[in-house]
Amino acid sequence: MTNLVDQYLIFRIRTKRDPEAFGRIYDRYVGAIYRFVFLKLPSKEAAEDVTSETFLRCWQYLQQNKEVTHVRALLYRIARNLVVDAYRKNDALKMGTVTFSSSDPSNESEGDLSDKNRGRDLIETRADMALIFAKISRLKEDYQDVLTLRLIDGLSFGDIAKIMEKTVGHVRVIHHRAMKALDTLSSSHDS
Amino acid sequence: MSKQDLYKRIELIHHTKREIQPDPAWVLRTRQTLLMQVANSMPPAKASLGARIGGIFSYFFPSRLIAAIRGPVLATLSIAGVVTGGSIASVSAAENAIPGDLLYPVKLATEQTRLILAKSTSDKLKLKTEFVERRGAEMKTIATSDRPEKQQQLKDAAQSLRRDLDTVKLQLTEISHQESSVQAAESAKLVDQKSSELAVTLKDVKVSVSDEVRADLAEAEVAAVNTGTKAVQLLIETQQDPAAQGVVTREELLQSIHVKVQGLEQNITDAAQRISGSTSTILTLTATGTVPLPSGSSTASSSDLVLSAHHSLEQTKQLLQENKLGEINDQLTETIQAIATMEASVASTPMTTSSTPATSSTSSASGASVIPSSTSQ
Repeated sequence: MTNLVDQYLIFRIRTKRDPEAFGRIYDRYVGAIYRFVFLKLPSKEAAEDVTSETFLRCWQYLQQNKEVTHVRALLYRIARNLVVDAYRKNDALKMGTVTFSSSDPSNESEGDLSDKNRGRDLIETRADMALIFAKISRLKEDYQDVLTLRLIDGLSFGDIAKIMEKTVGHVRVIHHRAMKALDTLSSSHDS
Repeated sequence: MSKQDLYKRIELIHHTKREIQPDPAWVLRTRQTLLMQVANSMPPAKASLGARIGGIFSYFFPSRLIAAIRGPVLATLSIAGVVTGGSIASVSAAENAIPGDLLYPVKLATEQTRLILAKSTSDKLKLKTEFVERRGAEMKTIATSDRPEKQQQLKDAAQSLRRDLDTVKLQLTEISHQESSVQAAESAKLVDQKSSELAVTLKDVKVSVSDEVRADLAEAEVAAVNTGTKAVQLLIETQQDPAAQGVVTREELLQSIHVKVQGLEQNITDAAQRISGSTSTILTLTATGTVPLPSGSSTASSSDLVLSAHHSLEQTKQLLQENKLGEINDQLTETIQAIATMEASVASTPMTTSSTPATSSTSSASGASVIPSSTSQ
């Protein structure tokens, strides 16, 4: 059903030349893409930049009249590539030396106790993610990709398959092998 | 990091992620900027008709699939076209489909698409109200049909209708916060009218169904009355704005409230009769009638709730008689909450005899008492 609506919106963009249809795609996915990139980037501003760039690139892709079977997967793929680019460009990010912002994702007034608690939660969450990435980074690249998208981002195998441009069956196999490899790593840690 | 530790951290990450929301002001700013860029870079020329038609299919079916099936499909269609002389896939056929028909999922999918593409909450509400009306008409058609599975279809339809009515109520709340008083009043007036019509339709359908389905239909009817009451409450709020007073006059509003109160009174009467039917009770009868008071202690709480709801409704009626619109809203809210609590308690009360649905607010054939129609002292 979701894909049917997206396909209809793309149809309106390309044949009816309706900019508002792209606005509807934006409305549908801006929150999800923002959440996808937020914890991977050091600040709210970086997450906002990457999110808006994602939609701009999606628009540029649509203009090329290439076939788009799954808008959501396209957006995730673009966002993921932009995050990777951000890491490539920013040596500090690569070295893990960036101090991640503790600011709340939405604009709340400073000094509020709940904001401070949320800020602390975000720092802890980012620290957890850094630990998990450090563990996963010891695996093969395909394994890393599938595990990150599945475990951290909580995407379905269908979405992951479209993002990685593989079949669902192939993704499931990679996931199974990746989990076994992760178990082996964890076991060697425990011992 | 051990495996347990890993999964624990992942769970915490998911929990934190769920609470992350982008700044609404940034979302809006970015949307405006993005759409400006989109509009500026949008190619001016429209695609030709042939390209558009081809484009429609290419968005929904991959090009390889189209190439593979084109030949056989065209052959089949041409044969079928000669044989039937009619269209194979007809939008109007889907529009007339009812639950259980082959094209019914197409009808629902079309409705869902229209809802998603509606721009404002009031547009969505208008569409949802139209679709709720359709559900009522579908249920009427099923009830008068000879389908073998009609009881189950009605049961499913009634449950789906309740969910849709809950959505309408939520949308009314959103509109009251987001849109102008005039727009809110127009939306509420529409919902009030349609929900009243729906309640009448459901009442008619209830007559010809089994007891089990009747309970579901009764719940849907209650949901329709409650949705209409919610709409009336919104109309009362908008009366404070002179601009909105042109949408519905005070007299019309008072009449509508009166109808709602009658509906709520019926709910209480039905609940009282369900309770009285479920235990061996001593019915307390007076000349004007009172709520039957079950003697068994297991139903004491249900009867207390019935009395409480009745008392609350009497206060509402009192305010209505005194034309105190400003105070009616809060009292209506209290009454609806009392009735909801009562309904929940009655629904959990075990039935030992089948209940006879009341079709009017007058006494049933057995002479069992009813809520007095006069106001409380």
